[in-house]
Amino acid sequence: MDNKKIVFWQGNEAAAYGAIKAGCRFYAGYPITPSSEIAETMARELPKHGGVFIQMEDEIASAAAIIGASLAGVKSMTATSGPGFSLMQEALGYAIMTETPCVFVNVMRGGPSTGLPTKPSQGDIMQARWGTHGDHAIIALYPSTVEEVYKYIIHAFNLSEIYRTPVIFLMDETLGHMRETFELPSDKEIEIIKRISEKDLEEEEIFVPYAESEYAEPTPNALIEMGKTRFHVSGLVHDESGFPNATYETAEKLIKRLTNKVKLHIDEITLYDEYLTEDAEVLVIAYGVVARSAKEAVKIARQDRMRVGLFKPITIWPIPVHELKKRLSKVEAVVIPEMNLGQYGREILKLIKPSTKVKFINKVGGELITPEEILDGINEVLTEGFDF
Amino acid sequence: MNISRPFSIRIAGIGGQGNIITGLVLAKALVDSGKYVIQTQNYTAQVRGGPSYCDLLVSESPIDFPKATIFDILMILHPSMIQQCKYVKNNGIIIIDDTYIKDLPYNIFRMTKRVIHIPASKISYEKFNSEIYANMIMLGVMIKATSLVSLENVIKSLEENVNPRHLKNNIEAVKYGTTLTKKVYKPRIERKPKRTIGFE
Repeated sequence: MDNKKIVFWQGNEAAAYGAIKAGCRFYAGYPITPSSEIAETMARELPKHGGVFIQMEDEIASAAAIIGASLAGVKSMTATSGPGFSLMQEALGYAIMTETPCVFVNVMRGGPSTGLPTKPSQGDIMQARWGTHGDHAIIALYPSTVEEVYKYIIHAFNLSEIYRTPVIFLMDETLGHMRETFELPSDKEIEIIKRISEKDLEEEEIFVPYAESEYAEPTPNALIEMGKTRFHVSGLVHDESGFPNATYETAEKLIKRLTNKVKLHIDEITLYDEYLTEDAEVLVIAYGVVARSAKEAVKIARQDRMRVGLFKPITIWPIPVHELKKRLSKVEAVVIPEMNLGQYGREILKLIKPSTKVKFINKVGGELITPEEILDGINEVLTEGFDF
Repeated sequence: MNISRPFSIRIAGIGGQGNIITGLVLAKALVDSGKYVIQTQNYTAQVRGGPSYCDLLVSESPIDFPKATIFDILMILHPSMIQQCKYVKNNGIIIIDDTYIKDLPYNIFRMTKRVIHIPASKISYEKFNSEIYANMIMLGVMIKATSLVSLENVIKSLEENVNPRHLKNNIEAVKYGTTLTKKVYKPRIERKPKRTIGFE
């Protein structure tokens, strides 16, 4: 406790400092409430670490710029909110197709359109999954405390490097603008995946960026640091050299490989947190800032001897299917609170046995779901049919 | 498992009065005194003149739910935020800038008698020739009236957060604020919780 540094950061500041810690050296973005503080911190801090901050003309250009920077050899990221994230969808698909590691931060605000700029929401859950066109797999992380923001944005960069795919880092307005105390982890506790540099390559080695190793095995460190190694990049269906090739076999193989990269490594990618789930009869599934309310609700319910547990997916995409299924098979009822009209709940319904009772708690007006509302939901599923 | 709601403070005013910086200074001072603190803020698209408030939650243990619905301390800086008084906790403390706020809604006196009136804007104008230090005067009053944090921690926090050009006046304003009231209320966080088993 003595030699560790206690910090008091906003979620947005933690995201920016975490990204710099993870090795991000290029940021392109267009400031938008509630994510502006990320751009502000990056503009101030990146040059001190030899990085580049650029304010682009819009979100489309920002997303394109970070893809370019990543291909040129530096880890890069951008941050935006709902309206900007809509504009970035095209480039997001390009990053998936060209297997470019980069991080898209989306601090969610109330929508649709310009919506509620200074109010929290969880309305972009499905946009993160299916916002860009075509069949694809996606990795999206959504922490719930400022400490987790710092910890998991570093992890987001690592995942993006290992699986060579863009990673979406979701936050919400409350988390972005909330200041909280936490203990900064020491350098030893942080694992950072570095790219291989050109000098580490052996002589006369041919670099094939899109070669398939084992069946959809991740190919970490495949991008070379700012070097002279040249390869072709295309958003068209391409073969392993990177040049367009529109035959049926290439297309099928490529798209399956891109989705299998995530699908076949679900247990290695997924992160989750649980609280008192061992003997739970009722499982509360909540993520992001709502998980904090849910945790308090579970604490209160446990005091009243209700057997309630909390499951918090941190990687909301892909869903921690195997772990969630194990827990869902043991419980009698499920409560799913979210600040949208049931975007994630509908996905979880697919995993639930028909005999399990389900209670959705949805709120979209820009107010947080309180522990009392979740407690009401828990009570309702436990005492269904009784009148007091 | 001991669940107690964290100690809550709301600083309410309009954009431009320095509500959020006041909250930030107080929050950093509380962090230095070893407490778990969560600071949230609410503002609108109107940068100057829109409703704006800064909420602080303070606890001895980590805090789960980051918002509060009722407050132990309310600091009101502008007449338009007077309706915030209804969120006061029973026997909570209300500190108001009565330069412009003339009368409080009568029903709050059912909840608390601990109301401190300070003409902060007037004092600030008389002392510094500008009303912008009213928030710091109010902060001085608050730390005197509640002894939530020490003056040293607040000054240290001011040095970290305030533009050096205005630092001297801000420190002076806080110090002056601490001399303005003789009322001292012990906030709930300091009081020992009464334990009952229900049917005595």
